Amino acid sequence: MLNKLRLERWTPAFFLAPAIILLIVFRYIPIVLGFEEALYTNSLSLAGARKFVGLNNFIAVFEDPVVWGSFKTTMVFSLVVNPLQVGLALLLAELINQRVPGIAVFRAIYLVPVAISMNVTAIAWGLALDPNYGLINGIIRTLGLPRQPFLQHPSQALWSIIGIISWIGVPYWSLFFLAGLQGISSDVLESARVDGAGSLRTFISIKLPLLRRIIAFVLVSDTVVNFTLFAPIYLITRGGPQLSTHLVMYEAYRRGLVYGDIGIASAIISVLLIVVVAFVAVEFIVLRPRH
Amino acid sequence: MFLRKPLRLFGLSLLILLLATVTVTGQDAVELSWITDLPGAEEVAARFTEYNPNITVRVDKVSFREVFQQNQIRLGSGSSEPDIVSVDAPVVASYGFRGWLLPLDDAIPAEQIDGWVDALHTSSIYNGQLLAPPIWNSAQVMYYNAALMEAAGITPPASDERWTWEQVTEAAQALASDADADGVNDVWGLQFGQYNRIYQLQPIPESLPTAVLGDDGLTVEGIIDSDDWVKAFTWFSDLHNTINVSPQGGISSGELFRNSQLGIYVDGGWMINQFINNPLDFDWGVAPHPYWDGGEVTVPGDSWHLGVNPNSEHTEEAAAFVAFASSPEAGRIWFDVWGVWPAHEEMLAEFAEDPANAEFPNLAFVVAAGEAPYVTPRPLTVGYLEYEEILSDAFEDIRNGADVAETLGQAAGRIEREMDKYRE
Repeated sequence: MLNKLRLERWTPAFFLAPAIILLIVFRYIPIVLGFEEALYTNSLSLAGARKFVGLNNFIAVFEDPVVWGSFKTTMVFSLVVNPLQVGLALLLAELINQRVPGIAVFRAIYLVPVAISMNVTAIAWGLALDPNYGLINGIIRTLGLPRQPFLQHPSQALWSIIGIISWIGVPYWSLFFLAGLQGISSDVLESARVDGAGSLRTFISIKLPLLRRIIAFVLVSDTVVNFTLFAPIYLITRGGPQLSTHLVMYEAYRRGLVYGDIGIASAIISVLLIVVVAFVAVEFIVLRPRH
Repeated sequence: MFLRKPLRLFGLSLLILLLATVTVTGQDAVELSWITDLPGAEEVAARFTEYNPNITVRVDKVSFREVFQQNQIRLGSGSSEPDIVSVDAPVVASYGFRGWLLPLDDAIPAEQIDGWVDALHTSSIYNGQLLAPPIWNSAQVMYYNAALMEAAGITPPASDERWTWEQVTEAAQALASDADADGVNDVWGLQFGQYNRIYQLQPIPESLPTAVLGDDGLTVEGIIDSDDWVKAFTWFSDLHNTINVSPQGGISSGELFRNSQLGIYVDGGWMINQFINNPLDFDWGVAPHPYWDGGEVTVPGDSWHLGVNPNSEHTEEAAAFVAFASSPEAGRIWFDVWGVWPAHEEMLAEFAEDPANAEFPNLAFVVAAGEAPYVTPRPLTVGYLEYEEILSDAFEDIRNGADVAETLGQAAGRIEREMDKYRE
């Protein structure tokens, strides 16, 4: 009897162990190593050797206007892209949740961008937005409107990047909302309708509150994904023009892998990690379930 | 019982495998690793193995940008791989300064070293030590579309006639046209192969002439933001923004040239082979690299170099491979595979006198090889990686119409901050 009890107590641990071990090995240990690496600098005269510099790398990060600029750009970018993607994803989910003939076809069409890798998407959109030979400018010209520089101008580049990643992000996150919407009992919706609630009222007063947990999950995941966005910047704009798309991950990449300064790169990533955790904590508090 | 046989078989195979390993080790079989993007690398490695059957070279092919990243991350961490290090000429100093390259003065035959073209020999040395021998030679030349030139009423330069940038600008304006008036030129006048890299654009200020780096190898303030640089890059900006003869955006210059949408195209001599093997459907020609009227002739060129990782477990074998890859014999392979000519003075002379090269298109190789005396090495600085990357940002912004003086001033500030760590 006692044995059985003891066994039962350990069963959850047994099932959780693989996931926890993987998390520790592939997430927590690298995070600790990253923080540690940020306290060192590569020796500039002996391959593989390194020198302890305390918090100097962090001080350097805060003093460098380019790094600071990349944090500011990333902040503006996140404050726009996350609410935008979550809002549009909700709207899209509500639209493709309608019961009309042939809706499955529409759902498939909207989900196509999700099936294409970010790299291919980035390169394809980079070509489509070319100022001279891009498809989009071709369409704009056909409509008799002036050509747009898109990725070539500091006032439009970041917005173009937001558009490109939302092309994937919106349908992807809408999948989660669609699943949530389909999980709402038809009895609830039916009684709302009987009580005279219109679609908008039902959406705001019934569906949104019931989707609260999913919204929290999507917002947090989207925040993390977008704070660490790298591929389209690396592939299309390389941080330009005039550093307008110079996001933190790209700056960290440059420091670490182009200039070979792993210490500074680790310090940048460590600061970014703290910022992301702070953001996510606020989101969790605001969206915590009300019991 | 019935399990025994398979078990015994398994044991036997294990034994054979073990013995085989021992035999191979007995012959000192060595596998060297090498990260590169170069065409011809496999062929050079294979020939080396023919002479040294116990040494194989594992060629890891990656993109141009990744060659730097993958080498730097490994070397920086003190890894024993790669054994053979691909070193672009301007980063020899940077890698040497960090202790990433083994001195090879005793590993390369003296007559081979003496045979290299001077500029290439200079690039391979840091702090008085030979760190990274050159494997071939290159130079930038000016290609032109003869049909487009004729249509625009321009007489193309002779194969030994060096145009000034003033002549090039005038021709480019005559070549550029937008017949369908859609706001995008059908034919562009002029474009560079690597339109945002210092490698390609260095002669624009340098030919004025003006310096591209301070004498201490670190200072850029007062140099890359000088009036001369502003003048040089105002011309570059005008090409893209006011006189509109060069395209903005990421469209490949080589493709534009191939499609008869580009009249004058400045790029490396390695394009000649491509134009011969995959022929262009119009008459084309090659002329020496342009320069400023009254200025100096300076031509981008140089080579990839090879070095040996000091932490490699096979430094001797790796050094032997580097010696072979920079030898005249390997020089022949590099030329045959992708048309870059050898780093050896003597071979260049043979090359120019070879009757097979007297006529176009092979004459194009002679034009390019003839640029060797004008090739100016890239600025020798331990901070080249930072210098190049930040200048690329600046050149891209200037192409897109940013204020030239302001952009160069900001770039100077950014590079100075990065150089500080080398000053301590």
